[in-house]
Amino acid sequence: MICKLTRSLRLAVALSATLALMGACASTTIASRAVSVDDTGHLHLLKAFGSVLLEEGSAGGTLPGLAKVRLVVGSTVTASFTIQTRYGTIYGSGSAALHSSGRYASFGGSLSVSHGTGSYARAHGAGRLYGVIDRRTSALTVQTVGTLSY
Amino acid sequence: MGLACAWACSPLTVLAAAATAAPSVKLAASFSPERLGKDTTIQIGFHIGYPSREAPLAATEIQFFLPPGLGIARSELGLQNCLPARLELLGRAACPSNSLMGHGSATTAVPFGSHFVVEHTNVTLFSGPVQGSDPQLLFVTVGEYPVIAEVIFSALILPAGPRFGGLIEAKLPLVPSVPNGPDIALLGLQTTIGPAGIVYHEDIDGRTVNFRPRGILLPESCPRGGFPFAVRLSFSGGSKASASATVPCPRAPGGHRTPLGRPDTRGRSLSG
Repeated sequence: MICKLTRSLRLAVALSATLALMGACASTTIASRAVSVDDTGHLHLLKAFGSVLLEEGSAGGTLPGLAKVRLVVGSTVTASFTIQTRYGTIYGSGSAALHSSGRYASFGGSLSVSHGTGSYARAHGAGRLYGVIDRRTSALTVQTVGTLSY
Repeated sequence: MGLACAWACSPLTVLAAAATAAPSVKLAASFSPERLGKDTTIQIGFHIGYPSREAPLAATEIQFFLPPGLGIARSELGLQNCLPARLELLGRAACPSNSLMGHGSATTAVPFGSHFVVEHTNVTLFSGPVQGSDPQLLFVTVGEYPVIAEVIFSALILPAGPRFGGLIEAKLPLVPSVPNGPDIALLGLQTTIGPAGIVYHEDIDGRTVNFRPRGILLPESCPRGGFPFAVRLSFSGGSKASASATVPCPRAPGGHRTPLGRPDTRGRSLSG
């Protein structure tokens, strides 16, 4: 029954001059269906083509899951993402701006959850994302903070 | 990269006269290597032309428009930043080698009395700290004859119109030829942005290892009509000039083309 009473979520997005986001999670009752999100995840580069980066990784937060992110990196960074959790998949998007450059480029921006499947079929929400990418290895570390309803 | 010699290798002097007619500009751009889906170095340069007997003007702003889809973020260029204050104080030696982004040359017209003397300068491009949320580039030009001068100016990488993927915008300082004298005029500039000729360093287990940074990733397919470039210049006195060029799509994998892209004579609007 604990599983039914606890809903977690995580998001993933990312950037460089680059970014990424990932999961989140928290707990609440089914009745409220709104959770505060504060989580951290780690992603790595799958493929790059032009200004598009595909990233994937796991979130180490309250609800483990697999995050997949498609980034378009230009003068600003936009991302679309999916997060596969054991209770369903979450879809969303985000954008971010560069805070610092160099080998470790940091970024910050906003994200929104648009829809989902399974337990997250009615997922929606918004939040902030913060991250750092190692431009030598393309490894991403991302924190997400926000609210999710489902 | 032989762009400069087209107009700058001649020992010409230009009669100084009141500048009235607007200058014209020609742009050339290319990728090296030119292979879709692979890392590359951008080569871009322009030449400013003036009507006969018109004096060259000091440029106050340069805007380079870059094609969409270039994987600049995926590159390893600018793994370190050069700090502008240290650069101003100590010169290029103050910049970490891992902040080098490109190099090239510029041609200027230095006013002496009633004549202008052409001066060739080396250009070095470094990565600078982010300004606001905009990546910053630092240009350093060093000339030795007839004027010994090091000119530093910064540029920001900004959003561009829908036809372009980004914009490099530089505000240029006015540089007098002698104290309180007329300003040095810009005749042309060319630079690379990419790993060609660049070596970075990193420490691995106490050893310094050299490596070539990843370049700018070309997309796996071309924009329709090729890769668009453009330049827009502003001059002291308020006149402006612009030009565009297109790097055509490779005809076949591994195909080769002329070293520099063709100037675009179709007169497209820069705003896309």
